[in-house]
Amino acid sequence: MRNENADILRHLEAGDTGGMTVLFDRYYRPLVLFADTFLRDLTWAEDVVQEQFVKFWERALFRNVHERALSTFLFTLTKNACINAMEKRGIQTEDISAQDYDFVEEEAEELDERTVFTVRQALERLPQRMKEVVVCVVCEGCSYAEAAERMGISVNTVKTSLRKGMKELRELLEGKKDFLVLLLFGGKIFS
Amino acid sequence: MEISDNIYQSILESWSGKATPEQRELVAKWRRESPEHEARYRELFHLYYQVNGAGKYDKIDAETARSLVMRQLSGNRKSGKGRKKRFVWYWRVAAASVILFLGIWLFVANQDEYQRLESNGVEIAGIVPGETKARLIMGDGKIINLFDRNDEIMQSEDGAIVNDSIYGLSYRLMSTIDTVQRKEVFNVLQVPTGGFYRLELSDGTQVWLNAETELRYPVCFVGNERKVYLTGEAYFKVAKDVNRPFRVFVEEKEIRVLGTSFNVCAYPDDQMITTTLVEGSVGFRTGKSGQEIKLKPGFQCRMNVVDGSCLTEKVDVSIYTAWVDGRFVFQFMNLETIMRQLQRWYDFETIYLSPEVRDYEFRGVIERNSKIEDVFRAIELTTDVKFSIEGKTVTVRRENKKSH
Repeated sequence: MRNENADILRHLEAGDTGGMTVLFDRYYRPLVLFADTFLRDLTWAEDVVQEQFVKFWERALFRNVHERALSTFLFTLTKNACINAMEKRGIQTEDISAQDYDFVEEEAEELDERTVFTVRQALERLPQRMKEVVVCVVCEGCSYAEAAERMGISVNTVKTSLRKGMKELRELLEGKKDFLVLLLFGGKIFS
Repeated sequence: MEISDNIYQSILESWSGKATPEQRELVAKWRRESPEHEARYRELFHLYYQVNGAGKYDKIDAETARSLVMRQLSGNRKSGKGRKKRFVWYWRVAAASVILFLGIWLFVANQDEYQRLESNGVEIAGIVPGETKARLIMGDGKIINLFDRNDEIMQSEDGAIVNDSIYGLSYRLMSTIDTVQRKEVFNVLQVPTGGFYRLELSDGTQVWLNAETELRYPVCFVGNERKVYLTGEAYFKVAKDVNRPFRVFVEEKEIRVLGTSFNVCAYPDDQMITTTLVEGSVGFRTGKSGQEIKLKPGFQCRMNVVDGSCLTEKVDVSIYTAWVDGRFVFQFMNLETIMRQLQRWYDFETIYLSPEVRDYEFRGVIERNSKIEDVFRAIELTTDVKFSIEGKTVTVRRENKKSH
């Protein structure tokens, strides 16, 4: 949807809030996940991002944005808001350094509903325990020790299951991006 | 060269915010050691971010958030309301003078391109996924070919019909003043095999049209009813207007609607009209019995075209609306029905050499931009079905597999 940004801006310049709806649909979740890498709190991330959308409209920030820079603008806006929000609460901004910010933004922009769908399908393909370990550490942010405790297994098992799981996920996802996932079936086929 | 377990753990724990300062320092040092380490780091992050995102995606209630945000927007821009109208008006006036000039040029240009696309399809002799394209027949009979492009504005008497990549073909800017005096002028939007299009009617109702679909609708709704006529498949998001019920006619069957989201599937070769209600309320009436059947959200009515009999049941609506998001979703659907759906999007003919394979059932999801060869290969991998493609014809037969 390369041309979509131009249309969005056009609608916004014309004072049409419909442009905000489309902007929201396109960018809300990616921005929230991006904010979450800073804030590590999904609810907080949602609040901050929502504020940015309102700010974007109220202050007509779209006036100075070129269609090709719209995405970067939104991510930068969000990043700065996160840093401010964290400073206000006295939290240190540690793990995302300036050099990392660029590729984090790239990842955030790339993550869309289709990718989520594909990744979920791939996760389902993993053996049960491997999947649980991956979800625990990667999705829920557990440390290895926490995962081991939660699942009643040794830290060593977490180590191996996690690495195997991630490796298998990578293999499933590579070359299967635009792919279908056709699961079978019911019915009398092999007689 | 694999990342050591220790580093791997330190990396992941730092992303979770659970790493010790020592671990973080270890990672930072490791990254600095060589460009290959940095590349591995990013590779891992890529995977991590996707899995992490996939896990959290659904926890984000975008719908509620959007309502919250949109409500705040209207509240704060109240003083600017007049300004909004003026902006739109300026745009229309400025555009009007350009319209006349562009209209003719675009019409000619589009025609050539559409023809070129069609002929390309035949020359390349491949079966390719569909795309956003349609044909608009205006009140005076003029035909315009449409593609998913922005800034194309078609001329019309009083207002503008806009084609953009967000709302599709939009009549929202058609003047609705003084509709009592006006006659209802009908336009027809035809979506060909392998096509897809979006439409926004003058009242703000949004319609998504699937392949092999035709919708006949007025440029501007006149009177105390909103009537449209459908063949094929469409998803409607009807703009609420209690004073003017929205009525969808499929031949002589009628679906009466009151501000709502629903899918109508009425392909002639299906011999059935399937209406799936997502939100709101609809009522059916066949021309014959005159009796009205009401649907509740999450329910579907399948009406047999021949005898007018209806079957209503609760369904997973996402299956029937997945096409709007660019997917085919099958839940225990037989191969024959799947092929029929694929045919409409990919544009091919099917020949069954082994009739029994028609009844094989499948469950799954296919992205609508998948290559047809990939779709067939997936079916072949897990069944004894074999597909052969020649030009635009697909032959389906059952192969006798050797035992393992």
